[in-house]
Amino acid sequence: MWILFKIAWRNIWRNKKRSMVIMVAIALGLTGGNFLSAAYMGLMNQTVEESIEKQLSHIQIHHPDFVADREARHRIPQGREIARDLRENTAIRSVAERTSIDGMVASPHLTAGVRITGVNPDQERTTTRFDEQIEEGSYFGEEGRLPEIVIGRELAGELQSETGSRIVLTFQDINGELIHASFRVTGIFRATATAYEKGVVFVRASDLNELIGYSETVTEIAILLQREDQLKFISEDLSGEYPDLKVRTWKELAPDLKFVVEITEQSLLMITAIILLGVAFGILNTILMSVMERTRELGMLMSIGMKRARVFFMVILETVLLSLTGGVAGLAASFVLISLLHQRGIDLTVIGGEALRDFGFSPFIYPELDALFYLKVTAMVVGFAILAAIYPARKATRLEPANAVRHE
Amino acid sequence: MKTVIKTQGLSKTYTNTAVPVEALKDISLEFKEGEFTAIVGPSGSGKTTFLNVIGGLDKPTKGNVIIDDVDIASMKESQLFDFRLKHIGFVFQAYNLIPVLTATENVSFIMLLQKRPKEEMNKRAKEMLEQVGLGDKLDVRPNKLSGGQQQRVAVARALASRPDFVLADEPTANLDTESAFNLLDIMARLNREENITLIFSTHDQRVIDRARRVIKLVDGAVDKDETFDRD
Repeated sequence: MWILFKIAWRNIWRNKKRSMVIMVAIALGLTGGNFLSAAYMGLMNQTVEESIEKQLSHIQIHHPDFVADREARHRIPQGREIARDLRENTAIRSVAERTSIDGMVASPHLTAGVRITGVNPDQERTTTRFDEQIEEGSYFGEEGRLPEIVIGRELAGELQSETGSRIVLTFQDINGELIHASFRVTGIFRATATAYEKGVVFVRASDLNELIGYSETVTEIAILLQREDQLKFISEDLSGEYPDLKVRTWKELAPDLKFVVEITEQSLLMITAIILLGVAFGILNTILMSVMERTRELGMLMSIGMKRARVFFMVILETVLLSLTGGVAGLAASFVLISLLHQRGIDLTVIGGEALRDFGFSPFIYPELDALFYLKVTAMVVGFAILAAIYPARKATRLEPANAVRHE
Repeated sequence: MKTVIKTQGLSKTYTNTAVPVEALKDISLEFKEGEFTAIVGPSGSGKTTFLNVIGGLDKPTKGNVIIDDVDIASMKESQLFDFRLKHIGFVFQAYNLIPVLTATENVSFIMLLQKRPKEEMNKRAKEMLEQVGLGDKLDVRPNKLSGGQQQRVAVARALASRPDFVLADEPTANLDTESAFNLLDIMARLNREENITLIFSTHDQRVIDRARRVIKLVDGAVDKDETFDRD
């Protein structure tokens, strides 16, 4: 069998120029496909990571009725005790108790619906690292006459408010009564998604709880795990432990995000497959020419007793080696390119990438591709090479040895 | 002397042409062990077809080809591949070496297909190349060898597998006089010393003059079958 490898490998270099052309085509195709995939994958991963780390966390616990009706009366019974117990769990990195309700925000210029999130700033720092997103002002640093509020850059623009401005929140207390309260803008945050900047405001949970009339109110417990791969196991465990509460992972909280993550890899592999399909026709042409040129040689091999199946295998092997050589070059080139750009990042703002934020994406992309993707692409290269080789290999095996040896 | 090949009423008609062509007509011949036979005749006389049929590369329309007590005319294709590998050595007009392999690798290749042990293979390949005067070209690829040297590698390849007989199709047609004589000397020596059965199809008078048996085909039938004492 070793001799067949030797023949196949050396045959590739019989016509160096022709083989090089197809190898370069494979390498360029793969580099392009992988780079595109890495950029898209990077974008997706950033979005997911940011959503988990700065907004959703891994798991959230709510009162079952709270899911449809985000009001303070649907609070978690013994929320603080539950949060305390959860902090004892070694698989959990941090826990934040929140009072999250829907309400209205008003300035002299605009009234809009918002999600009011009452947070414990210190807990939130370790759970969602939200403080890192403050662009202007501070993250609940200044105690003043009015309770503090942190709003998004987009909302600040629409309300025509800035740090120091006074805005009014309207929401229901635990008895369903409407409450109006003034807050002082002390911080303005910037998020990847503009929708988040517009739709969510942050206040101290203690201030909000006082206003809604129950200081122990907890409507949401956000949990950040030590390891993402334990997500399913721990959420099932918590569901069992708290059967009267709604335990949801980020995948359930943001099904659109989950869907995007799931289809991203398939879509990218499909794009790479389309590129490789185009290249496969080039491979087919190269191998077919090579087979036609070697009619006499193949005829000789079959005349002396080399079986057709072995000739078929030899042609397939030659094609796979040719493709893998180009493929390995392409994988190496894309690995270097992606690693380099992963460190530096790609700034899309210079080409109008700022608009990506409207769709919840960052205009700074850090391309990344996991080892499994490279492995799948390698398998695809081999797969397409085999497909491309079938026709020339069949052509080779259909030669009649007696005629082929005398082929001019 | 043992009969190596026996043909009985061998006929071959090609029907894939506009008019059916009778390439071989009722040929019954016997080839004994150690014979050096030249099949001669004008173009289209059926020499190549005869060689193809007794070499298991083509099937007769009628008749039998008995080799080693087996009628190869009735064999399936896969059996014929095995049969050729074990029993027949081929030398082609255009040498047909594998250009990406060295002389030794070209000679060893058929033994690899026969699954011979590596040591035996290397020893035999070296021995055969030395016998054809190419002991100093063991690791040279065909493109670095002259036509005559390439054909000698092809002869070494044909004999390396210890076949029952060797079929050579116009082996000297592409060679200059010196190379052709050189090759014929080697083949005649191997025929004499190792009792190898050689069957040539040829137009070349130089080959005919060396052959101890000359069979002339005309229009697919045996016209003459003569033996000569060349010693």
